[in-house]
Amino acid sequence: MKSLEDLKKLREQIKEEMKIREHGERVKITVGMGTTGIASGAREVLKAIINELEIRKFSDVEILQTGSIGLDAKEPLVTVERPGLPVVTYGLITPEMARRIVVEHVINGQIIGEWVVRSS
Amino acid sequence: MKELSLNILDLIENSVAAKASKVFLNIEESEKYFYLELNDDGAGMLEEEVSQVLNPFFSTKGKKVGLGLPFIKEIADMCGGKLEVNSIKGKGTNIKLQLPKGCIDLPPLGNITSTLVSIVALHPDLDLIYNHSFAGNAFTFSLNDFKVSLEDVPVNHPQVLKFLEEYLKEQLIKLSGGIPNEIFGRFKEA
Repeated sequence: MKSLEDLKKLREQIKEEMKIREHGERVKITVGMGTTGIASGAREVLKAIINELEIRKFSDVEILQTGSIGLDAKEPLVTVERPGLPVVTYGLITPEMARRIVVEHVINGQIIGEWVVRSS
Repeated sequence: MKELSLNILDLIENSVAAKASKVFLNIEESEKYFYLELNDDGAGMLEEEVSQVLNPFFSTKGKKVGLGLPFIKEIADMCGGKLEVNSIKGKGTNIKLQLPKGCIDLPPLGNITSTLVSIVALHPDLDLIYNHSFAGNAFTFSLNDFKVSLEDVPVNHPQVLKFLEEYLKEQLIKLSGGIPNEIFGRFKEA
């Protein structure tokens, strides 16, 4: 069972990591969480993003949500804003695709062209 | 929606969109019914807006449709349940849903921990209180209390969110005495 002691241990571990790591500019990940997005699987996509970030120990991110952006047929939608790269929205995202977006785009800066539905 | 926990996520997103800073979510499961209450301190609605809120072609968010509450109303109607929406402009909104057990069209509650973790990830500043009762036992989670234990570590740090997910899962299993065949499919993912 997870206890308060476990939480305190985790807190101290994260504090140590925050001290020694150099923080770059944060990557913004936005998930469409309107009714259509949620019904299409946005919660599972968000969960996959969080899990992959946790596995990769990558925390220089800001996770945000948005309502409908007029692309309901392409939900679930994930937008990634990585400094130095165009802002890109991916559509029809599954949890497996979300994990790849974290590794390839968020962490390594490689846009996955075939999944892009909007770019600016 | 495939799970009631997805409807709950949608309702809380509505509360946040209505500028709520506090959300209280209460779930009660018994042998006879599933009961849900959500209370927020958001912008609230005028009386005429409340009367329109179950219309799928109405939304207070300036878009063409608002499907969240009509979806829930549909479940309540199919199952012979009750949905009540009360709101005061400038004060907040209160939603009460009661569904009878045994309705063939009743979706499982599903992954409520995933809904809660999503809310914490996306809205770390929200004052969220979650109460879950099961056959007379209760579990309460306060996000603000949890944050106090974290000191200056962000609550939406990926490792903290993983901890939170495991913690909530454990507490909900404990709540039902570790019995896998609990009443409303709390751990079923459709």
